[in-house]
Amino acid sequence: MRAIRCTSCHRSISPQEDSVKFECPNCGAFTIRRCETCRKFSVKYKCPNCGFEGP
Amino acid sequence: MSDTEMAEIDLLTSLDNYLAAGCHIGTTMKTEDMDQFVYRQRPTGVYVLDVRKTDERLRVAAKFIARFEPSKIAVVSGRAYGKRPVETFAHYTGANAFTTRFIPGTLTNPSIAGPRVYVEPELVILTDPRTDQQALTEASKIGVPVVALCDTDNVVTNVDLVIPTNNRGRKALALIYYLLTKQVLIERGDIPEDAEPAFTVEDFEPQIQRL
Repeated sequence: MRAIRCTSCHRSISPQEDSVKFECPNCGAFTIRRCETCRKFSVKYKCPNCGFEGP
Repeated sequence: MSDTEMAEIDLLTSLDNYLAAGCHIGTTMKTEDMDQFVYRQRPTGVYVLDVRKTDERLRVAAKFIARFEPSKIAVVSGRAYGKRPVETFAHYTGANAFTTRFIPGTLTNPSIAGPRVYVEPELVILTDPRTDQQALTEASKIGVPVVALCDTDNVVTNVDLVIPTNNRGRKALALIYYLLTKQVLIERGDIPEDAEPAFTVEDFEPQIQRL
């Protein structure tokens, strides 16, 4: 079974933590996952499909 | 970038409308998170937001919001000036508006008592991450994405999509929610792209109460 990884830090996401997943706001083709730490410290994410940078 | 160059860029509404509504006016404080959206600092110390980035983020946010089922969207505003824009936005898009006190447990407690309602949204839209802190915390706990209107002094912790704008002004909030509503309806295909919508900015603007 493949681990679910954070788009920003590539760390595996535990099911216990308050992570989030959503489709890329710009293109909607790639599912972005953010771990609890990256959300807390507002670490940037980048869509590999369209290059959109958030938050 | 000069003003003439900015005017040439295709914006959702004219640059004059943005400036007249004061969407670009920030505060005297700037956080590191919002540094990328700041255009310049005035000699008085006020930071000015880049309207081009506001416009760009509005388009992206509209695309994002349009992908969700309307009944699964929660729009929150603890600010008095955000009440009417949020309620009008919810009226035209079919979202759930929370404009009074946000009862703790609204998103996290299924057995919430009394007349209080428990909702399970798939997207939360905030008018100010600091004022709507309770909604932000609960949204992060249930793991739903958060879109927020952020000023220069906001920290974007737990926010997944920032719309940089003045979130204190009456006219600024009205214009931003008007553009967001219009763009969401265009993205959904409810209104054609070149047609004028049935609503105006005035419908989103709260009335001033004179004593």
